[in-house]
Amino acid sequence: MNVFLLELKQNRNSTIAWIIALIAVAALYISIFPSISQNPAVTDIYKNFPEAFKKTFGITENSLSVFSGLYALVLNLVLLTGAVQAMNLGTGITSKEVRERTADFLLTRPISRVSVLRQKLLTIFLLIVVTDLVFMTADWALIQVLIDDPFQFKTFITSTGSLFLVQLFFVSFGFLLGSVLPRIKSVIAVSLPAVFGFYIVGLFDTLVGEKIKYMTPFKFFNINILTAGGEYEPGMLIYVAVLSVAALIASFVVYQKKDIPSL
Amino acid sequence: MSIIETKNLTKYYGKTKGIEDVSLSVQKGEILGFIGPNGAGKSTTIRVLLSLIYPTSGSATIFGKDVVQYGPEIKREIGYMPSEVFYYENMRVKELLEYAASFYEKDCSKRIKEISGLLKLDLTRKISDLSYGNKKKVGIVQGLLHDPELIILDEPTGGLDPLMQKNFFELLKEEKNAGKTIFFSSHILSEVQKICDRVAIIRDGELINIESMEHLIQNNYKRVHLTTRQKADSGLFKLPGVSDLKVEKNQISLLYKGDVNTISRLIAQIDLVDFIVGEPDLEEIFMHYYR
Repeated sequence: MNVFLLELKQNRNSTIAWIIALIAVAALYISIFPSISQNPAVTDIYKNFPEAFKKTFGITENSLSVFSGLYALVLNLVLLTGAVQAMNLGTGITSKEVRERTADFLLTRPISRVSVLRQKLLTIFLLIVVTDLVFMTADWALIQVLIDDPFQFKTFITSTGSLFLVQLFFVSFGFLLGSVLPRIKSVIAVSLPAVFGFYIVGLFDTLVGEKIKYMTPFKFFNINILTAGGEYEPGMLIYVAVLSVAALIASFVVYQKKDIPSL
Repeated sequence: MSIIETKNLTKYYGKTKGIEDVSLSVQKGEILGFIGPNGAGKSTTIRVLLSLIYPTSGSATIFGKDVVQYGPEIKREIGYMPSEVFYYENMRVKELLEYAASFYEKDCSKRIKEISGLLKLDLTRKISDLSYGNKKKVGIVQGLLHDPELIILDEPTGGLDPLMQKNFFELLKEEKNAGKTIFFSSHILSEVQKICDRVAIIRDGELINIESMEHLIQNNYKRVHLTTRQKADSGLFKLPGVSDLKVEKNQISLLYKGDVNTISRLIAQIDLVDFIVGEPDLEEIFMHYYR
């Protein structure tokens, strides 16, 4: 468990920073909701925003008057933030030894590559679970304190839970890239384009139609339906699970067989 | 018993040759010098032995076990020191060594103290604050802390000052006396001469020769420069063992391999202004004697 413990320690601070960022994003939007929802002038201004702008930020008809509408907006940004965190974590942890040139140090120890990767996988799952639990607790508390007419706990859990599912995909996808690409010099240079690429694909939903949900993690689940009290599509849950597991299996296969580049 | 045995070991990086048909064996308790110019395939061979990379064809065994199949098991008894050392930078030396030790099922704290004491390595410092030479020392300690049966060193002495180099060689001799086997790669012949029993010579990815140290010393390669008072006579040095002979006005330069008495008597016949007899670098030896 030594690799696990080291990774946990080395990723602790950045995880704390990401948790703070997620809570800050949610807090900002939730805190302004009471003032804008009762102010027709503000809602009018937002209604007049260009379509493209509204679309990019997920603003819908009732974004600003009903809390479930606003929460969909919040969740949109939370998913984006969480996706970057997950992608960074996944890509970073598998490419780390080559990037920081510690591969020779670690992989000449009596430990199999499978075991190294397994411990790293355990680390990132634990960190993602902790992130989501802390975030959701804070998020729920904020809603209780700031919103007069909040939605049900079940709706909260279902909709906010999509954060974990989206992160599950990104963490696995990053894990795969980190294992497959021979040498990643900068994690952000890989993770940001990947995440924003998927996000941009999601903006073409009207053009693509129903099939968009298979093409980008940001459309795996319809957030507007979830925040309005809806349920997940079982097929999509399976889809996410299959994609993630496939990426992880591929990571293990490739990592075990690849040549470690020399310093 | 052979500690290391490679059979026709070949590694291609795509189409680029790393090593080809390298067959060698290292016996228990011996120090084998593995020398060759930069880019000859020394590190490639070592990285295959440590299963950091996998062979294209051929095989390698350590302690009689295949390196690909039994990598983790074999590595319990291997200590490795890479040519360039990089470690988790935000760690302190002590933390790093303890992390390294955590991979072995034995208590390494005594060895850590002993070796760092010998090398005068401060355990409380941050790795990122260390000089190159001090990082090298960390490299030595992390490679030896679990008292391994086989020690693999990839150009270990660069960056160590002469005193530390001496301490380090003493350490290696102690290990040898304790029955440990050492595989020592280097591109500096004199360094290898000091300590090795046998020398394997590699060039362009192919093993050229394995010689005992006595034989290599007998050969005694010298680079000779003479400045003569009169115009130099080019005929004088036409004898076996001389190569790369250049005569220009009153300058003579040559490479010599053989009994030093023969050449010193020849030199004594000449009226000299100045002379230099030195050790040729490995490149020169390879160029003129191992074609």
